Amino acid sequence: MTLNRRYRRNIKSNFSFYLSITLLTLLAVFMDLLFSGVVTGERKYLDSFRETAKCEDGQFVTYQELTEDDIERLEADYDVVIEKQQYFDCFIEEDYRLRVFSPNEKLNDHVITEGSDLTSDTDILISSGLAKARRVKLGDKMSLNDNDYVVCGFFARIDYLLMLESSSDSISNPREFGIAMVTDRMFESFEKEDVSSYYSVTYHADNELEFRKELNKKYMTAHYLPADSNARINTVLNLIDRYSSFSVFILPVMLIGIVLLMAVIVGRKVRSEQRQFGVLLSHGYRQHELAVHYMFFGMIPGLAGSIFGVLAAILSIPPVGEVLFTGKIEPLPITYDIEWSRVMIGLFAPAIVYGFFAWYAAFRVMKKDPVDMMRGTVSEVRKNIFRMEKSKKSIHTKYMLRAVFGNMSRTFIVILGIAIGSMLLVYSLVCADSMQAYVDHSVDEAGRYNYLYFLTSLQTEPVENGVELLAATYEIKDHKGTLKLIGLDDAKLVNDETETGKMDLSSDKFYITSKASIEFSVNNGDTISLLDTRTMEEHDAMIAGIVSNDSQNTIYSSRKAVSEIIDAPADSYNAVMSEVQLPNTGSEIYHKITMDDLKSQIQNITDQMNEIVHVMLLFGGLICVIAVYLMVNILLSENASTISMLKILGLRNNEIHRMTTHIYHWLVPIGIILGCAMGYYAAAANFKMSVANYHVYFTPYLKASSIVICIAVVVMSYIVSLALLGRKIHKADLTYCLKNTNE
Amino acid sequence: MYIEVKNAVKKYGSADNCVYALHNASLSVERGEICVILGHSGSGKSTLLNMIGGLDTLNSGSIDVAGYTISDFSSKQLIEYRRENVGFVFQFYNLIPDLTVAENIKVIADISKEPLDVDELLKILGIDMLASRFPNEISGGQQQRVAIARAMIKKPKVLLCDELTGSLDSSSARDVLRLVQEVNRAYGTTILIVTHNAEIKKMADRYVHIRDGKVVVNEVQTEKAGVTEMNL
Repeated sequence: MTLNRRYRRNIKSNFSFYLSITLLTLLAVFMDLLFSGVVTGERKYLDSFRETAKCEDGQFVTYQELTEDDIERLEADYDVVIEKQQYFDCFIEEDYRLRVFSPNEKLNDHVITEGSDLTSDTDILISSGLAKARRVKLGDKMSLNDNDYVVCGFFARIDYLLMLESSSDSISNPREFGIAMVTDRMFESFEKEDVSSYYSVTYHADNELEFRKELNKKYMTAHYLPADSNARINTVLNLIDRYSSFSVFILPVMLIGIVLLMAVIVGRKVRSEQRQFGVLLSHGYRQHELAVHYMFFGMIPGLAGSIFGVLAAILSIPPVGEVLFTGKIEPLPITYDIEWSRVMIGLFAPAIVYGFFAWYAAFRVMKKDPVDMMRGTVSEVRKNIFRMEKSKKSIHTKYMLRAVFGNMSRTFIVILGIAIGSMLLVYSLVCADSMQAYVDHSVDEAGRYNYLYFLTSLQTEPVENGVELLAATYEIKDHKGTLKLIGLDDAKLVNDETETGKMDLSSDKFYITSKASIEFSVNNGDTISLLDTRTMEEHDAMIAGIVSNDSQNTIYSSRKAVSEIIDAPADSYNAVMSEVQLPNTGSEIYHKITMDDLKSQIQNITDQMNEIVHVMLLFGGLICVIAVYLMVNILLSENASTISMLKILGLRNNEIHRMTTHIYHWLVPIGIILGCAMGYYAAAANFKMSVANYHVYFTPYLKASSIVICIAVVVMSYIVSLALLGRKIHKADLTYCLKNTNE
Repeated sequence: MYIEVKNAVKKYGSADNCVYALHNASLSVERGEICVILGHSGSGKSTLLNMIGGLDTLNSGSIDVAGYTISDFSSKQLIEYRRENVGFVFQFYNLIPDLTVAENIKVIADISKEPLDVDELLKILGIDMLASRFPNEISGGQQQRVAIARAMIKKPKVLLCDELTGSLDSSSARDVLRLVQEVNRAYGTTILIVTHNAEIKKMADRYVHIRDGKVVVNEVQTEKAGVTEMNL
């Protein structure tokens, strides 16, 4: 149809408008598909790896060793699978440590990431992270325990996705520690006293509680670590959960918000073609023919943005996946499958929504009188309300009131557009600021100690320059994850501020940290059920207050109260907190945490999120600039005839702008304030909803400097857009404008 | 009668602020006539034209055109009526700015059952050399010629012209009116011209005068003047 030739020309003559819609659609679709693609690909691979490798549900150490018969009996009685895990730690050339395993038969299988599996006794597999960090190549030779091996392949184990030497570590260093695997026969050749062991278990029935009780009763559990609390396994899953909170919350919300905003704008553009509607209708075009014609004015930019967005996302998923996960977990041979249902939505939903809004807008306009259409007076302006006959206000003020309040839908769209643009920027800034605030405050909130010693046994001798603690790890009934129960009589080295004052440790009350309170949904006055990780005994603790601490899952009470729970003498302790390094740190120390460790741990958590926050910041800023440009485009294009007419009447440019465009300036601060509030509360809601995934609670925080950045970006975009688009309008042919208006 | 308007009433506003655009207006036009409708601004002449063209609806009264009682038509039927029977020419041309001259005409040819040949019509109207120009690249008189071509391409039974010379200089106005006469002669089209220029009534077979929404004169003119004799 000849009419369809208008598409190309109309788009060409309104190029910046259609380009803005296309770009915003592209960015929204790209971001949504990119992160969902990365997260889905990683999760799919890991779920599959966990299943095929038969990942453990927990690992334990017992005081009494389990024989083969014991294992067989437990497996038969409780429908579980148990496998003894044995390893041998050795130094390689005093440079790095290697933990050597033999191949498993039942649980925690491995995957070859490069090269081939073990085929001979001289073969050795090296963990892929270590190989990459130390540039080990296939075929390299290495000596281990007086035996020479050839590196036949690189591998990853499901229970060592994060390469931590100790399960209580939080940061991996693949240059200094890795795992290796040799054949069973070579493993047998190691000295028995150098070999360490523990047991891994998986449950097939809902009887974990009974099994663990039986285990403790018959074999005395020394230590039990659920997979959910095993940093080597769950760190990567937590990382995926953290990323997925973006892909399931803010990005779809952003996509929907942008698509709806663009759809409304497309609808307004169609409405502005009312003269053409009137002419074509008067010449006999049917309403549905015109509605379909105008529908494509929405569908074309929607489809263009979607196609480019989908293509860009498909191409970017593998490298972005690499950036987001490399260095944080062991390199894995992940192939990213595209989630086709989401691709289809990304590809067609914007075009369909824009098309529908354009079609609907066309029909709404065509319901009016064709004469009004040709006059260009199909308008929402309720002039009667703003007639202001008796008002002594200046013409400028009256014009402003009519322009702003007489066309509320336009005013609303402009404010909303600026608000959505600002919101995405503010959301990203809140994420960045909150993480920085978390790093800055968490260490202070965690306490004023510099060293925290966990001892191998209960002690009673008083410690100089330290605070004695009675500490134990507990699982929480009906929740994943663990928390530390700490008994102490002197709170001078911990943060003891609660919302109602300081902790009262003399009254045997229990106080929970703010992070644990949100993660386990416990409030002041609630009772929390603690499960002993070894015995599975249940203890109730009523919470008397919430201590400000967003980084640790801890319950504080007096030593007396805790001693009753863990069945230890009231004057005993198994941990010491101190500002100075204690001199008698001998073999009694099981584990030592320094404040520097804690700082690194906290910094590590935020570092994991930094890339995604920076990406969000970049795209949020871009979207903000384009959205503001589009809003200015609407304001100027809808006032174009007035501007031209004022110019014809001899007004100067600054006079015209004062009359027509300056009146919208005050919509900008409203949009920014609304955007800041929306961005802040969206981030706050996301932090609260995702605390179980993040395993940290970020208190939402927005720096004054970030607000200034947001204001600067929006205002600069507004000023530049006004200058660019204003110039275009002033260049318009005035005689043509005059000929084309009959108002 | 080919066009018959009986007691047409069109009012705007509510009871207290009611304004009559047409107040019991009656009119009849024979097939093939050129009818010039005269009246001052706000007299209701454009409203009457829009009613006959099916662009607006009456509050009471009836309008028959070419055997159809269009005042009883639904909005869908009115579209079909316009599609098949009516051509419009407006004072401000209302050409579609992002279509060329030829395309502005073809766009109507596309929806017509038996349209005229576009190129031939462009030649007849003397605008064939403008075919590939956009509306903003041609003069007002040329634009109005294009508007007439666009209206005529579907061989309408009725051509409705609203102040078609209102924006033109006298030379262009003369050209356009000559064109209207040629169209009337060549195709036998019934033409209604709304104008406030009394000179144009000289070319009419019938002229109608409207005042305050009422038809005060409806006369057949036996002696017509040529366009060159008019003092535009």
